[in-house]
Amino acid sequence: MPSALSCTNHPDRLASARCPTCSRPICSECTIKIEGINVCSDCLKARARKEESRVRPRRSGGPLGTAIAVVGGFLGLTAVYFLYGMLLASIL
Amino acid sequence: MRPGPLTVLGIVDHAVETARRHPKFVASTIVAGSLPLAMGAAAGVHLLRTQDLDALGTLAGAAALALLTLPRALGWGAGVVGLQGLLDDAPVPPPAAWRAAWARGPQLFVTHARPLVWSLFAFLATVGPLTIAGLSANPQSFFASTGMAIVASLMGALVAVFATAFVCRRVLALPIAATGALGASAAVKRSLELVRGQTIRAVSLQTYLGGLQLIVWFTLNQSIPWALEFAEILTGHTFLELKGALSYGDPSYLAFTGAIAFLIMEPVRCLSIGYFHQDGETRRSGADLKAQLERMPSSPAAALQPEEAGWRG
Repeated sequence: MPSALSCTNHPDRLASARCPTCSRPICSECTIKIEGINVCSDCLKARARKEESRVRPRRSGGPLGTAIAVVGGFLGLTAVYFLYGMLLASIL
Repeated sequence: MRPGPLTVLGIVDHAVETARRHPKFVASTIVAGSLPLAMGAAAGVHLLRTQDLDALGTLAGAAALALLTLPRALGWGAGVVGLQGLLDDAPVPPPAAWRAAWARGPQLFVTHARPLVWSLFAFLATVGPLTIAGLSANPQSFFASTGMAIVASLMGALVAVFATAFVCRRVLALPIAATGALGASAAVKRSLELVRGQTIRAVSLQTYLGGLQLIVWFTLNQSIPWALEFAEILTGHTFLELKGALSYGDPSYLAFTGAIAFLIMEPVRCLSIGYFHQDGETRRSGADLKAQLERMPSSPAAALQPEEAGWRG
């Protein structure tokens, strides 16, 4: 059975510190030191997942929204190509 | 294998190198997709010049070009999917890349159409003040005025800078939509996030690519008449009519060489934007991780000394 001094992830190893977030004892292998800050690998992964889900934009709308967007894109392109055509016709 | 953070020149170098190493892939995806639009636009200029099209005919031509934009969007999508496969060391054959792009056809079309409309409007918005400046600068013109010429030139430059920055910040939307399975609006938002703090690089990249395309176009315009003269020397025949048609004075010739220059630059443009997207993702994830670490308690978590961590061994 792991003692209070054992690493949470490696019960056979002696812990060398305690994570500031989850307070679990961890060994040096489970510690990630980035830019001077020591981070427990599990907590870092959890935070990264949380951050990723927060910043990830919404996915596309339904088929009706897509159809409206496609028609809008087509009409917008037609309008701008038409403007260019009229401009070129007046120059050429 | 993904390259590390890249400079603008590094992005273009990687794009050229990728196109050089995988010519069949870029020809069957990016170039094949853009071919109908490039040739359609050149044919449109030729028809406008020779057929005296009315407004309805011009509108029909514009609608046809809008339809031809779809294969370009799909070709770019397939190209970006292929690039991601190469970077992940899992090459995607062209048919599979086309299938992946086809499955997201509507999203890719919309994501491609929006920046294209903005770019074309931006160009028109820039041309307006510059035309006024040109008219004002001409002493024989009715509008001749030094003050007006200066103000209109400044306005044109200002509109050009803002419009270019506006378009460049949204330029990553297509690779994001092709590889991230996002809708057009979400892809544009993500593009804005990735280009945040990188606008000057985005504008520099697009300006550099535009400059390269102009060089290719001028070279092509010049090299065809030179090739004809060389052929005259070699064969002894004269190609007077052909030389008359294939010259700077013929708008149709300029339109078709413009289309060829556009097609030559398409793989470099598409792959550069693909690399810029990958570079943006790398930088953004690094910046996110740094911000995340800064938010974490600065107390020594794993101070690596049991006593400092609050317990004794």
